[in-house]
Amino acid sequence: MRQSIRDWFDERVGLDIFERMLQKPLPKRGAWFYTLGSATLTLITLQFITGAFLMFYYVPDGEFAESSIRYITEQVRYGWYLRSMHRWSANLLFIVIGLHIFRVFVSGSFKRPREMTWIIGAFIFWTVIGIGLTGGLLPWDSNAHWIGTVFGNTLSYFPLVGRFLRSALLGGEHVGTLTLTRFYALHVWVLPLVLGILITLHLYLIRKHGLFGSVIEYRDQIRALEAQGVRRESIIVTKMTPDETEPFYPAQVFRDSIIAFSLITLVSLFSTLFPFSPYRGEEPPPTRIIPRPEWFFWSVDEWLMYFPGKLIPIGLVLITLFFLFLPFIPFVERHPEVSPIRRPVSTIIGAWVYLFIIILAMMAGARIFNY
Amino acid sequence: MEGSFIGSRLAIAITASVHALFATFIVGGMLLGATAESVGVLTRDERYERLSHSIARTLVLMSATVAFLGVVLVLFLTILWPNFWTLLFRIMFWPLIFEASMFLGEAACLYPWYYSWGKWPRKTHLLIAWLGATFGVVAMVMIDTVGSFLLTPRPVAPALHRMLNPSMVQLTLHRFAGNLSWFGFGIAALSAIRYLRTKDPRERAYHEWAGAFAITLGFGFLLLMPIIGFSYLKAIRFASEGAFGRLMLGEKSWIFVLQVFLIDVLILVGTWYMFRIANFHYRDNVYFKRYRLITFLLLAVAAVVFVMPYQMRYIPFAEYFTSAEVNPWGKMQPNKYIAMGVMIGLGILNYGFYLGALRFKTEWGGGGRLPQVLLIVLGLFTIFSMINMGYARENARYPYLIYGKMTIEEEREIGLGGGSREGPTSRQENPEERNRQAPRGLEETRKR
Repeated sequence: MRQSIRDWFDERVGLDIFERMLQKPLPKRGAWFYTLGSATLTLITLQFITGAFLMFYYVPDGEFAESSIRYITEQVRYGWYLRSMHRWSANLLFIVIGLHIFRVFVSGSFKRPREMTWIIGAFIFWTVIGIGLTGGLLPWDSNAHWIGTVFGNTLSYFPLVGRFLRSALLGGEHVGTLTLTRFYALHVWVLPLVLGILITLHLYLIRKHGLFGSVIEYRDQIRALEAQGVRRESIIVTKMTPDETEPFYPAQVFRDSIIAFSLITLVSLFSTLFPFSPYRGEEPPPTRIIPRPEWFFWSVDEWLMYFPGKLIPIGLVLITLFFLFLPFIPFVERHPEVSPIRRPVSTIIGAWVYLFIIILAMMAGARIFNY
Repeated sequence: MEGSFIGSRLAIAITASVHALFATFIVGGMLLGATAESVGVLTRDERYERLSHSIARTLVLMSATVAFLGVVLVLFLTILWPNFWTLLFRIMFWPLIFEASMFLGEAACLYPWYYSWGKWPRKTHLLIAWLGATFGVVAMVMIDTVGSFLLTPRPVAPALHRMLNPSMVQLTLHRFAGNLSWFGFGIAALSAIRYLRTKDPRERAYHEWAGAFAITLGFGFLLLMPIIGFSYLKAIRFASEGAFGRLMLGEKSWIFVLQVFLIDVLILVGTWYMFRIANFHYRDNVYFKRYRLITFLLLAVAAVVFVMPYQMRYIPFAEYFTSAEVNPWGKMQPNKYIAMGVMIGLGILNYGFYLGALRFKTEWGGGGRLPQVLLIVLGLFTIFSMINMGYARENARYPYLIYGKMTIEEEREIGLGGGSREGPTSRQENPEERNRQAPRGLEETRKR
């Protein structure tokens, strides 16, 4: 019976493709680090599911948006839980995606032939940032209003196109209902669609090339070829020895499942213990509101603080260049070595960048805490 | 009595400065030692093993000195400034106790780390090194909580606000980067001295390599310092405006100018050293030679702009060169920000070139004396910079011991350092009064 069902499906959809996928080899060493990608996917899926439920009740209208959030939190059965799940999984997503990018960079997994996997990964990162940014306005409370205002004003400092960008995104000079509808459309429709397409492409490429680019993939082969007098620049090695690998199923599937389950439990626990509520005590009068960006934008916030007055465009251009540079990394570092120890320049620079981002975020957090 | 009061301030200042100098060296040393040993295990390069072992030996020798100086400092505070010390200890009881415990933990890891070398399993040995480093960092965070509270205090309750006061995170980050930078430059200078003293080519090769490795840390973290420092000063400005004014525009602004000068020297000399070491790789590259020249010119111009004082009247001996009381070009903003950005930007670029060249350097020991002299200069200027920055921070809040809460005159009332029953004068009581700009030529200004 089981075999006949399998054959029925195999004839129509080609189950052998999935079987081949499950047999893809993975390195045994450091296998837990390779769960970060599936952890990212788990959290994005959680975002889609909880976001879809929130859409049933949320009203993207300037007059009703905030009250609809209150309705979700107070009236809808388990609405508070769903909303908190959405917020907490978004927060965790930024941590996990940051770790995933770092792992890929350090282990050299972006190198030939995986350049396109990295490039699409960078696009995914941009899209997630966009979703996080647009989502911050949807609660439509005082803080959200200020987030929109600060964001619009910051954009307007961009040389040449600043005012156009602000007007295009805010729907005018100031935050209003048009801003809310635009951010809503971007948050629930445009960017998630783009994200879905990008994730599909990313997964396809991972399945095509394998998801590893670990130290052990190249190490022995490079040494052997160098001993034969081959120049390092001309060495391209893509295979590992069989005893260093194991099939994706069952060991890696098991690890991924453990991580996914742990993450969902963690998000659920946080949502229960520390639920997000539109009421944070008595809401202060508008004149006493201090705009606070989401924590994942703290480093950007702090960075821009270093460029007072007329220097703001320089800060904006620099940070934009940093984000635009991400997809080009595989074309800057092209030699085949993947070991972080044997490519100290890349490892040190990567570690510096992360350290710098963390330092900026910590300083911004301290400033915001002491307002 | 005035003499003994000044004596008490001097005793506490000297003990605290030297204690802090050694303590920061140990925190940075544990981190770098653990890192070097880990890299040694991963690369199987014996030089890292030797480096971490010599770091451990240095730290073992120093930790006793730090403990001794710490005890002396507490003794001085208890005897000379009992009022202040009692108040501070009551407010910061748990951070201080926790700090002392963490230092104990650090020492308890440091000694086995050194004495079990080659005896314990490698994983256990690494674990103890990293554990010691973690204890050291936590101890640093605790003492920064106390130190930052003195300058930017918040209401004592709730405890979280008292600890996470406006400059606590910035001070911690500044010290964290500073400790690693200081240790990097310190080890580089020690390696340079060893290099110059030995005639053995193999020893020379090792010490030249050790110096070059230590600079990657020293210079790398140095580049972070002005960025974190900027945020730190901003936190002080918003929380304790009087202290900020005194340090940046007031009578102690010359200390800050001196600090900027020291940073200028460190960046310029560090760049010079990196170019010297990287020269073998870029020697035949004409464009690089031009780039090097342009870089130095730009760095020199940026350094001059960065160091320009605004309050000329407070710069010692400035009256021999100019009669201006303030800089005729004003505060030079935003030019100073741009100069700082240029220095950091070029520093990052040159650092990248240096690291890129190090990958290909296989022959060590023949670099000559000049790079080693530069390393010694860097080490000396770093010591100077560490002491100067500590002095600047502690003096910014004068006449307060805890900014806005307790003045030094209140301590004089009770402590053995003084004994005068006279109340503080209005100038001593009010920091804004003290920082009010006085025209040059007044006798009072001369005295100061």
